[in-house]
Amino acid sequence: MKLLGIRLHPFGGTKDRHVALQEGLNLLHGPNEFGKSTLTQALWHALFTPTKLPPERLKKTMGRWFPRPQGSHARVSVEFEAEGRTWNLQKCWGTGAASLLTPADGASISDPGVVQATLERLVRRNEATWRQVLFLNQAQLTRTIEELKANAGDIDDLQPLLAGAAAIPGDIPADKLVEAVDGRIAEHFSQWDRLAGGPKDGRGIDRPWVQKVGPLLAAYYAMETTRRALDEVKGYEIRVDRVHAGLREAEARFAVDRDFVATGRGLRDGLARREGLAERVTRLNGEQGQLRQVLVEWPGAEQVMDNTRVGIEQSASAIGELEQELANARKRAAAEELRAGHERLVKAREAWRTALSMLEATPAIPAEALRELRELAAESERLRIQIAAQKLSARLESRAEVSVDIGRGVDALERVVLPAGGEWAGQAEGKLRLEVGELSIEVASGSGDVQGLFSRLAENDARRKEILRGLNLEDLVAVEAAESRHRERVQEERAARQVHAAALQGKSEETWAAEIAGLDALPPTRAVAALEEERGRVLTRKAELEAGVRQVQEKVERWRREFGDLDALTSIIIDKAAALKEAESELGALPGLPDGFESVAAYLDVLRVREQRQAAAAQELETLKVEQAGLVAKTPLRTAEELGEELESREAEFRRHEEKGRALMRIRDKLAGIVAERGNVDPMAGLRASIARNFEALSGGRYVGVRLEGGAPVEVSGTVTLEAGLLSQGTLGSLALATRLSLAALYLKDAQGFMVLDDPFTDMDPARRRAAVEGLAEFSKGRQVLFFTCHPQHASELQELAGGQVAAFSAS
Amino acid sequence: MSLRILHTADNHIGIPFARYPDGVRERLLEERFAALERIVATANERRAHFLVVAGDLFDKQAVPKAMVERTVSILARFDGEQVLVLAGNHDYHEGGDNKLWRWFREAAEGSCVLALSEPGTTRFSCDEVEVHFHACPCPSKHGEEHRIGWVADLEKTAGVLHIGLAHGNVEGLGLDAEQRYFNMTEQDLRAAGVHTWLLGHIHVPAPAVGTVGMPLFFMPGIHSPDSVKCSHPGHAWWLELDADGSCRHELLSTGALRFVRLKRELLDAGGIAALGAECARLDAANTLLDLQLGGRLKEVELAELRQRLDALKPAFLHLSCELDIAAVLDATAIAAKFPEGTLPHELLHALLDDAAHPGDAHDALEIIESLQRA
Repeated sequence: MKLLGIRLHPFGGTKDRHVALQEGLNLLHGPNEFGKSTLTQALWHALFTPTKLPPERLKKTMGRWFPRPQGSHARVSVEFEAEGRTWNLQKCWGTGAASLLTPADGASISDPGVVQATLERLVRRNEATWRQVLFLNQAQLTRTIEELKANAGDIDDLQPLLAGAAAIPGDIPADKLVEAVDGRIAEHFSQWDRLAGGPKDGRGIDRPWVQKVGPLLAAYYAMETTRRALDEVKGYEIRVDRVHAGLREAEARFAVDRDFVATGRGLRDGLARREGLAERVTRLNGEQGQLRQVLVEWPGAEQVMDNTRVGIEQSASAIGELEQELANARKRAAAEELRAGHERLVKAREAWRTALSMLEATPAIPAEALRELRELAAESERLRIQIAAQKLSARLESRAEVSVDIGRGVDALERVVLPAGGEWAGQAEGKLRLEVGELSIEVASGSGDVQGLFSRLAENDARRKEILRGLNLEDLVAVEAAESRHRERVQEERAARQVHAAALQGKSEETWAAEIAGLDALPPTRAVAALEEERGRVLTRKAELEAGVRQVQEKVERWRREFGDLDALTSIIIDKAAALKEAESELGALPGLPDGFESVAAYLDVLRVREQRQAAAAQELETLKVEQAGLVAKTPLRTAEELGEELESREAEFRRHEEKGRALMRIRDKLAGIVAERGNVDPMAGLRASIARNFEALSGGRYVGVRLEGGAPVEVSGTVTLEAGLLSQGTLGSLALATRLSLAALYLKDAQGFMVLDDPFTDMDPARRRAAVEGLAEFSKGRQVLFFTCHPQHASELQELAGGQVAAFSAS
Repeated sequence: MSLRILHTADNHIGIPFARYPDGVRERLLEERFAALERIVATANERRAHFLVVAGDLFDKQAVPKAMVERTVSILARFDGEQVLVLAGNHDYHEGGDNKLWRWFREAAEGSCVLALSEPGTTRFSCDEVEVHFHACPCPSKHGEEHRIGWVADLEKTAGVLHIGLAHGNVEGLGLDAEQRYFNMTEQDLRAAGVHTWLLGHIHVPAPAVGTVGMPLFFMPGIHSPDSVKCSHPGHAWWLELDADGSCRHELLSTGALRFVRLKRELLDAGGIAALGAECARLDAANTLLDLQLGGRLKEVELAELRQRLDALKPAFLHLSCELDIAAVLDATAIAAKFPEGTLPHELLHALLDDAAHPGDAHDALEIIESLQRA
């Protein structure tokens, strides 16, 4: 923005004044109260204060600029150039408030909001920047550093201007550009999974992303939506083709049977009648033949029956004779067995008698005697063992020959002859008895009742002998043997008796005798088998004859029931012949059976099958037509050809976006490489150097360096290093001016604009002021500067060094 | 005497042209009828015996009845013996009661227009020439097998001109990789034993102009262009056939509109001027022009191009333009925008060095400038 002129009419104490302005340095000087602050404020409010204000704010902001004492409004007009055009701005606050912005070649803007918005665009920098940097009044100068720090977040971002050390116009800080590229990539690939090469989380067109859909995904969705539509249309066409193919096939099947079925339906009744008639003719023919047969057979049937009955009687007589002979033959056959049985009976009877006599010869041993003998034998044996346990030893010596009887135990005396000088030694059980001549010596064992034992043994022996005598047997062994023999005889007798009883065969001896006696009276016969065979033949013959008679008889009886008599039968045959002739006549008039069929039934079977097949085809046709109608109702609005073309276009569009994405990635990589190479370049260095240069000049070389925080110097260095806050007011003012000029140079470097300075050199000594004037002169080259001063010296110095023009600030 | 036939096909009446604005679409729809009217007029002027439409008279089965009636009324103006209209794969007849063909027959009743929607032979005798047309219509949109086999089995009467009518792809002539469009080989066509075939389906004409003797088949192509894919003006065949097998044929131009796609790389003002001259040679009022412009121009040239395009737009029936032109971005242009040493300068130069991706620098510039604007 370049100011061409400003008019206050009225504004504050100024009733109506106009100032024409030009490029470069504009000097506005005069004594105090000449109105420089009023002009500064008028310019400020014209650019930044809307005319449509609430009363309170109006009063607070603009009230002081209403003319005293009764002024109700303030008005400023500004002419300026911006964006290659000349503009006229008029603003009035208070009564008749209005904004009017008029481009030289365009329509006026009168909406206060739009006017203000347009101005914001035209002044290029925000209000804070203008306030903190480009509008400088004397009172604010020393607060510059403080204000810059406090309002760092409000003024326009320095970074875009500082990139490339800020000394290179048009540069962009790396972080901003990286951020912009990254932002573009994020936007391009929004909701897109680059790794998978598809929508994030696989959300295709069935469940699409709605929010933050990037251009790539949008192109993908558009492509896939068209592809889906194309597939659906193709699927639809395939279904239609399939239904149509089905229709053609069903129609063909229907057509195959069409003529046959149509013809067959016409023939069906006639053929059905023909079939019935043919059957009737056949039946009548059969019946007539049967009746004629009856007519022939009936008269001879009676004679046949009589003849047969004679044969039956003869057979019955032969059977009676055969039965008698057969009975005798069986008796004769039975006699041989009887005789053998009788011989077995006689032998059994003899055997039984012999066994009985032998039993009688072998008496039984009384059981009591046998038991006692067994007990006595056991007792004697026990006694002998007791006696044997008491042994005696003896030794005899004889000086002269002597005969000695020696009895040892129960044994009998044993004679022993001892020669002279001889001796004898022996042992005895229980007792030893020696008898020599008259001398008898008996030595008994001294332990127990040996004598008692001997006594009881003797008693036992006596009783045993007594019993044996009674039995007439010698000893117990013989008794046991006799007992055994007796038992054997008993068993033999019982067996023989049982054999005899079996041989009787339930008959008595007397019966056997009578039967044997009757055998000789039987007559001679043929063999039983031959007789039975003959009897069978005769019985069969007789049964056959009887059956024949019955059959003929039944037939005759049936004929009688059915036909009555032969005359009636003859009448029936005549009627049947007439009916047959009639049926044959009707049959001849009916349609014939089509060729290739053996019977009407076969033809009708085929007709029925083909009718069913045709009905099935008709049913299928119906179903397919319903399906076809459904498909027709769903005919897609767009054709496959159209969608195919669209898909090609969508695919091309998607490929373009894919390539765009790859290009963005390449740009990012390339940028990252460059930024990495630029590495540690400090983007603030240019600004720092610029401020340091200005400050060095303003401080007369005392300070050559500054340290910045954001855009504000916080420390200066040179002969000494000091925090900015510790500088004197004059030096601080120089630092502020140096900073403002550097910042203004940055903010105005790419944009037409101006800077307003309200007596900034007041606190400077001549040397510093001269340096400041030189700096300002340099600054004003190519930039518009409005320099207000009430110091003629300052004005003349500026005019001398910077060639500034004195702007006329006069009533218009 | 010769038998005179005007042979057209693939008229695609009812094609929607949905991508075009209303006025243009109406013009395109009307042109389908207008081209057909011209064909009928030409047939009458040349006193054709037959006008044969070898399939796809309509773009689809579902066309409005009024459109069918209008089409038939146009065909019915034919003064010759008969208009023979074969069902193609777009206006196929699946058998049974087909609405399109029912309407067609109802509209054609009592006229010289005959629908050939069922396979069969139609016999005529004109000026002492006996001709049998063996019609092989399509029963569906797609078909893996052609429908002409039955013609080979026919006993061909000697002294009669036998002409087959069919619709489908001819192997080697059209693209039917999946063989979904009743694909016929020359062997199939030859085996049928007819004098020639009048075919439809492929949108470019065949045989080549200048072919001598009796060609195996004729394919007229679409009668009026329907998209930029159609590079010819729309055709029909004029045929004069003799019973002895001799033949004279002429390819007629029948369309009035053209779809033109110009794909140009513009690099300087000369290119713009050449493009302008090229456009000026076109029949703008009857042309749908699709410009696909790429290249690199200076900003001033680009502005000039835009101005020219704006000026061209009203003249053409329709003009669409895909502009992929960026301002020239070279070292000079970069230096003018970004002083040496700046990051944009360095980045743009690095991107320009990547010759494989010349567009990257422009993309980057667009980002930088949008950043500056912000």
